Amino acid sequence: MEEAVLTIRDVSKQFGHYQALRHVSLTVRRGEIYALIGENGAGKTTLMRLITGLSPLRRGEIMLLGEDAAHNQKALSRIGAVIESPVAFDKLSVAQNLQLTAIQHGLSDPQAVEDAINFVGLAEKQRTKAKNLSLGQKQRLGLATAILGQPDFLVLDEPINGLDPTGIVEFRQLLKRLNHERQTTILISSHILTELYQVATTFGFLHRGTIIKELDKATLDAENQGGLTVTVGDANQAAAVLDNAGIRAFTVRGDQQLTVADGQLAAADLNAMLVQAGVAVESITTREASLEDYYTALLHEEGSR
Amino acid sequence: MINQIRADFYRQLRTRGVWLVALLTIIYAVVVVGFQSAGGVMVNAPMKLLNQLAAKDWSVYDGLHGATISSSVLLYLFIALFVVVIGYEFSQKIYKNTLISGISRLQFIMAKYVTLLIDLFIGMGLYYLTVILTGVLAGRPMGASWPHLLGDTGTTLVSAAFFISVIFSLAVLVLIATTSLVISTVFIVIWPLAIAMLNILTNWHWLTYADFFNTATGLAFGTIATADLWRYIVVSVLALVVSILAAAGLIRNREL
Repeated sequence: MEEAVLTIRDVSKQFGHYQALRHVSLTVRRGEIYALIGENGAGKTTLMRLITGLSPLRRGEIMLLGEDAAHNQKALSRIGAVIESPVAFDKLSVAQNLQLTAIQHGLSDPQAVEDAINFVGLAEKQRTKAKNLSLGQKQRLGLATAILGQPDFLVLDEPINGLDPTGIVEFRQLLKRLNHERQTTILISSHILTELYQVATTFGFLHRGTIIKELDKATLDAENQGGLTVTVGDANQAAAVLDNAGIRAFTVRGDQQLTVADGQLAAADLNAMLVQAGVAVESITTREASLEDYYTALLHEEGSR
Repeated sequence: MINQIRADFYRQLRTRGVWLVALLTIIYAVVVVGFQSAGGVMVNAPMKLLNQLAAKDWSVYDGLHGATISSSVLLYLFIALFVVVIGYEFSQKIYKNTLISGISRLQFIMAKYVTLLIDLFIGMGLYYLTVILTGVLAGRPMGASWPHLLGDTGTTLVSAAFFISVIFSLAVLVLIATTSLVISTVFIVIWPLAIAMLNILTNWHWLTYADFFNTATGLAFGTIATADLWRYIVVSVLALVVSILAAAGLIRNREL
């Protein structure tokens, strides 16, 4: 098994009467880009604040880079984080803000600041005061601050909020480069699930303070296939017909619905096969696989429990 | 902790407010000595010396005394340093960047205190340097030998920087407890006034031990008895230790 960068065991958090997190356990392994997905108030930011020590841990255990996060600050020096909105000294320029962070981290290499600026694409704005940056540029400055110390682990809370479409694409590429070129493990949360799907290797779904599902991308793809969604009178009967025809790549989605994975059959052929076997076919529609659909179905499933 | 102190000085050198404080300190020193005008906010004002100063032309040494009496006003000017060093960082929540850099909460508070102490030392140094230079440039008699003058200046400078730092340390605790920059700065303003007024109203002598700023003045003019000095030092050190530890404890257990 790959080395765990972050291990969260049975962590709970309560604010007054509000239970923000309930017995959360998860593991982020080296090299992963772990996407934390959940609705507003699900507990994503609370969990990230606990990981980075901005919120005191009362219940449970958080092991960060092999050290107990609650009692040892050393591990924090090896991580970078942008929690909630990125913050910087307004009256200092981009380069000065980063130089300040470099001093705090004890970095003596003057090239480190320049590298971070170039990495996030802020070279043209390095003399601009932080207060004069656009939201997207502030996000980049936040990321530059987080990666300046060449962290082993990066915690990013909603980093693409407020970015324009171009900014989102560039940010995605930045994260991939960080992961591939610097082997940085990343924990990221966002509401833009299409973006998370494109960068993440592992997904954790947080709902009302509880992790309801954790899976890697391959498993997600297998569970969340695109293809033809068939609504029939009896899904079990239809499944038997497909099975007998040697079609294995399909998923039963309830009593009356199943999805046949892309590339198995044309819609007309599928319809003919089922009808000839005596299955009442109500509709056949094309289903695009998306993280949104999967997430919505997961919440629906959770709500019906 | 050293890195945090270095980072704070890097930032201060690039902050206009800090340079403005330095400029105003110089102007204030020039005005006090140039116009031979002394005064301040204190519990035990050295009235005899004030009257003597009012009745004669100042020597350089008199200028030093007049400046020391007037230095209580500097506390209000140095509030700007408190705001720059820690207040702004708290009001804008920029401390998040610092606290996730691996520095412990105690180291963070200690670094802020040491930065403020060095700032106060530099600020008071600039004040007394200007006072002496103004007197010399005005062609006034020295009034005392250079070693005596510099010795007195050094003692007053160190004690003033330390005792003001105690008030700032308490203000850091107030800032963290209330998360309000306004309340913490008002605290700095009110502390010496409140102590002075309470002392007048109640005649509680022990309140003078908490009049941290004017302890330095008292030492300079001998209004504090040598036998009593240890009490002032103990109270100040205790206040300092308690405020730093309490601030670190609060910040450790706070949602940031």
